[in-house]
Amino acid sequence: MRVGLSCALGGTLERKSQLSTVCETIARVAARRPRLWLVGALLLCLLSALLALRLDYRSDVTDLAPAPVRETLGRLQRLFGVHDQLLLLVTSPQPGSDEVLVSFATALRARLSDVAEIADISFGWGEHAVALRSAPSFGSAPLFARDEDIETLEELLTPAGMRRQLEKVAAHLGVPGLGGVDWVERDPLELRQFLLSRLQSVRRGLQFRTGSPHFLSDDGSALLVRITGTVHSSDLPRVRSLVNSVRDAAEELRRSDEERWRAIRVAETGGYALNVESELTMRADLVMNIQVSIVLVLALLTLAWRNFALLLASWAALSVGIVGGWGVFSLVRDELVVLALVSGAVLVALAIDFAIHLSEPLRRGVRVRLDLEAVVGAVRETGPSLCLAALTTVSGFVAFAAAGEGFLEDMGLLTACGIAVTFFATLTIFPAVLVLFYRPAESRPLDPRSLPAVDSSTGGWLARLAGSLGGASRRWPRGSAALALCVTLAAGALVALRPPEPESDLRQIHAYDSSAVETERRIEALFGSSEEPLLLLVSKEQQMCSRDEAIARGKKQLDLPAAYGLLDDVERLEHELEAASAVVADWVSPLSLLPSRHEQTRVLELLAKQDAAAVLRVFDEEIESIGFAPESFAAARQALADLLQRGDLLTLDEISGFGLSEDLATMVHSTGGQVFALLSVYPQVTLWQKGDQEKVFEALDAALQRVGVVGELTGLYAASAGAAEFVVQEFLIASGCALIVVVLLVFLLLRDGWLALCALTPVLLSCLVVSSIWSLFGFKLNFMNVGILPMILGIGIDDGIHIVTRYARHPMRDIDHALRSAGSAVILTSLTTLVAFGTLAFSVNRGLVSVGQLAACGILFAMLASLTILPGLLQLHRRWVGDKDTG
Amino acid sequence: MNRYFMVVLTLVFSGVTLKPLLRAEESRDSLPKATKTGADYLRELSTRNKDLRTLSVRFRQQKKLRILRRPRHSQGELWYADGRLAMEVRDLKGKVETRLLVEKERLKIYYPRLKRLEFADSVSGKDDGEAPAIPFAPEHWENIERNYDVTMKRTPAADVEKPRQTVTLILNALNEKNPIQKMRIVLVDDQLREYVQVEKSGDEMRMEILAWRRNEPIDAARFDLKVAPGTKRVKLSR
Repeated sequence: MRVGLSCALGGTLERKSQLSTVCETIARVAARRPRLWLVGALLLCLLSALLALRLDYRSDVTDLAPAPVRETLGRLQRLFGVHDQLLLLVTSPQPGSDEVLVSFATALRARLSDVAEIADISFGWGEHAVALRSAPSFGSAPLFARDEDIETLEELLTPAGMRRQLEKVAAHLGVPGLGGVDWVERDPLELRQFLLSRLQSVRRGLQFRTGSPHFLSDDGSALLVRITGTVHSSDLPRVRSLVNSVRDAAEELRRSDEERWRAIRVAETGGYALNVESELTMRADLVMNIQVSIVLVLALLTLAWRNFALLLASWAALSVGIVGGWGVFSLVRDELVVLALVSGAVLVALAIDFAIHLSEPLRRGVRVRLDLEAVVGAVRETGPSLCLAALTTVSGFVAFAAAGEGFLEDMGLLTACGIAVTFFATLTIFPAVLVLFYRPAESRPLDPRSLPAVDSSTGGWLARLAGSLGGASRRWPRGSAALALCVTLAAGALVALRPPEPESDLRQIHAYDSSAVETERRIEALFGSSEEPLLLLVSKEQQMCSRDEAIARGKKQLDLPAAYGLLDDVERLEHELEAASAVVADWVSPLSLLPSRHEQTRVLELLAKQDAAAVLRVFDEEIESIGFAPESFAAARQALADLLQRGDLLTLDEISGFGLSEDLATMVHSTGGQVFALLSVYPQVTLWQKGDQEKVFEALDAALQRVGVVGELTGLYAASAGAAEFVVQEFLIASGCALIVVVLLVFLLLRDGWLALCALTPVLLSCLVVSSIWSLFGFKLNFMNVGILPMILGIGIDDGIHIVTRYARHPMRDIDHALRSAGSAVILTSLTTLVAFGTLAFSVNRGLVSVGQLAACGILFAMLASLTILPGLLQLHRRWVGDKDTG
Repeated sequence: MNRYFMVVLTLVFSGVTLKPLLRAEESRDSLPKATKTGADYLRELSTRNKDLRTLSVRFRQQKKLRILRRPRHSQGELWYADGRLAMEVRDLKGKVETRLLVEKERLKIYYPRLKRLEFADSVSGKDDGEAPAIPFAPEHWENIERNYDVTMKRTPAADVEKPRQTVTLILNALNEKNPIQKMRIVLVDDQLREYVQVEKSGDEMRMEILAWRRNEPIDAARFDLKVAPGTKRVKLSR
């Protein structure tokens, strides 16, 4: 039987010896010139740090959105200058503080007028109101009439209608407090009502106090201030500068001489605030995670090893690996998503494993002197399994890149680089440091206190623990295999019935106590339920204008003919939106500011039917009979006369005269032979549930198809939905790729189907169990934790590989030996990984918390499965091979 | 909200509230000792309205406007109870021209002869001349102090049996751009009697308070704005 066993493992051992030789040679070269290698490592670290400095660090949530969503958001920004906003909720403890709040906001706007990062600050509809107050005439206002207003206009132009209107105005003047003499003089027929009625629809969305020119809450205790920036969200230094400028200015005002401002409170939200807050909390989380991980891992190793030299050597290798990996990453990439720096903690947790496994033979061999040969011997023994483990782990992380998503790509690549460099550093720097420290020890026996003896027969307490954990399964291997099968089937069934769901609310990645998210909720409570519109970007081919025309229109000026070209389509789309009232609550479109050609034509047709002279005669008679002074109404009469003779559409001058052109330019834009219109659609309910999202998206798609215009959906809801869908794809791609690569590598390098299966079983089982826990406890897949499963696959397989390799390399396939020699290292490496990831569970950021919880679960299960299920499987393998040999 | 209306209402409410308090002092000089200036007097008036529950006022008004050939005369009544304000304005013949109701930030103006009801969801706003607000906030007086020079003249009445104190306040705008350039307020025993306002444009308004009743029951029907069948309802757009 022994002969048979040796023959069966002969091929594997031979290949392993080739790998061993390569690893041994590398280690020997490093150990012979330790100082040279250490200086080289130091230079490598310096170079890597310099390279890392040139990386562009991004922390914009939109960068994490799927590519199509990012493209649409980018187009919006280019066409309409839609940048992120900083929303300030300015509150007073006293209701009815309208004037105090508005004066504070006015002073804030004045104070921030020189900040380059700020494009605009608004807290009301003042621009329209001011423009309307100074509008030269309201003669063109009836052209803004909607279809439902045509009847009112028609009645107004009749003698009876005109008399009623002027009598009403006169009666209105008689009410104490209701003056408005200026308005009566300028517009006695109240022609402006048609324009005002249309402008009302611009105020949809957030529900500010009706009638107020400012973004005030109903009780006058809160004012919303919108600050539009000139910088992209990913430009963190400038975003921080913007936010800090606003904070400083608000604080200075609160502390100024104006006592009434002292009780005012200012809270922030919006893209800029969320970005700054996220960056701050994540940075704090990651720093805390790395620091605590280092301390805990050091404590664990100190407790297990009680040896300074091993600690120093392992940390030297790890440090070189982390910094070197960063440098290698900088060579292949120009930018890095800040979140990906979480890989620092991942590396501390994972890369230390190489040193732990490498130190095991050294600790067992303390009875022998620790010289160059001893160190090289340890490399020779562990090198192949370390190499295989490094390859599988690197594969697991490289698989992230297959997902094609910024954060996962960066995190996977950075970690893979770090793992690869740390593996090489463990083969070179670890022996170099060790030999350097014990250089004079060629003839000196190791100090038993500095390198504690590990009884090779028992393998220490960790090894004993590993042995005892596998005892039951070795005693009842079939039962243990059956139990593993049952757990696999149960977990598999649960995952199949309730697969993990993607997170459809991007806000859930922020901190539990996020003040920006809390402010957003307060704004939602104060100003209405659905503050977040779906942005619908509608486009159409445009008739090309001449170059001179294009130049004449200017870059910023509204292209009115182009706008009219698309507005008829938008009007038809609005009818479809009306029909979809079950899911669409409201919308704001360019038609809220400018009527379509069709709407204006209806008004012009109505005016053309009027007898202008008769209408003007009635006007004169009624003014006289009511007791008005006709000379005061000369301008109003002329406006009426112009209106009655009008035959053309609204002009750019008229639109500008009402202060609408700039706002209109934010909704209609033409470029590159295309004209674009932007609609803000407010759904009936918030769209954080997948079912609600699908209903609304389908209704809008159907509306666009019926009208026959090209439209794209974007905005936070669409980005969230797109990201959720993308996360599932990423999950499947990354997990699939990791699984294929890991399985292939294990089969390729072990070249024994049964052994490969044995090595894979614990990790596959733990992945299934983690997935089922994921479903049971309602964890949602998000772009941060989506990589956990492939990562567990890459990390967890190491436990199996080390045990199986030890088992396979032993001439007698001694399971006891495999558990004793690798078990303690498996436990120690799992514990270090566990504490490093476990600290993430105490983060403030909810995304990082889920990463920590799930990773800790996966690593724990992988370790337990490797120490309990695997020995039983190896026992079965041993019997099977023995039977085959005997047969 | 027209500033003049704010001032009138505040004076009406304040004066009524202050009256019993001053009577209790049984002094010929009804002004509190701490009151030094017209501004102090106005501020004190504005802060003594806490126990006001209901109010009924009868008034007469004259408006001389540049857009009118002749002055416009009207008369009417105003009722206030539990945060609701109602008003009825009639011509000199007694025909109702308008009825107004302000209730829970909602404004309704009814023109019975025209069978037209206009309404707005909010009565906020300042000088848009459209919607009134009930002025209880002290900052109105701070604004007055900031924008006007206030002078006060006291005239003791000669009637020995029924001693009276007449206070005349003259408010002159400090800034010539202020739309209301001058106000004259006459109070008798701290009750508003007359209010005159002159605007920058030359328009002038004079209001005379004929009677008021404080904290007396008011018929709930006053706040029930009933409209005739066939009345057109129009939402005000601003």
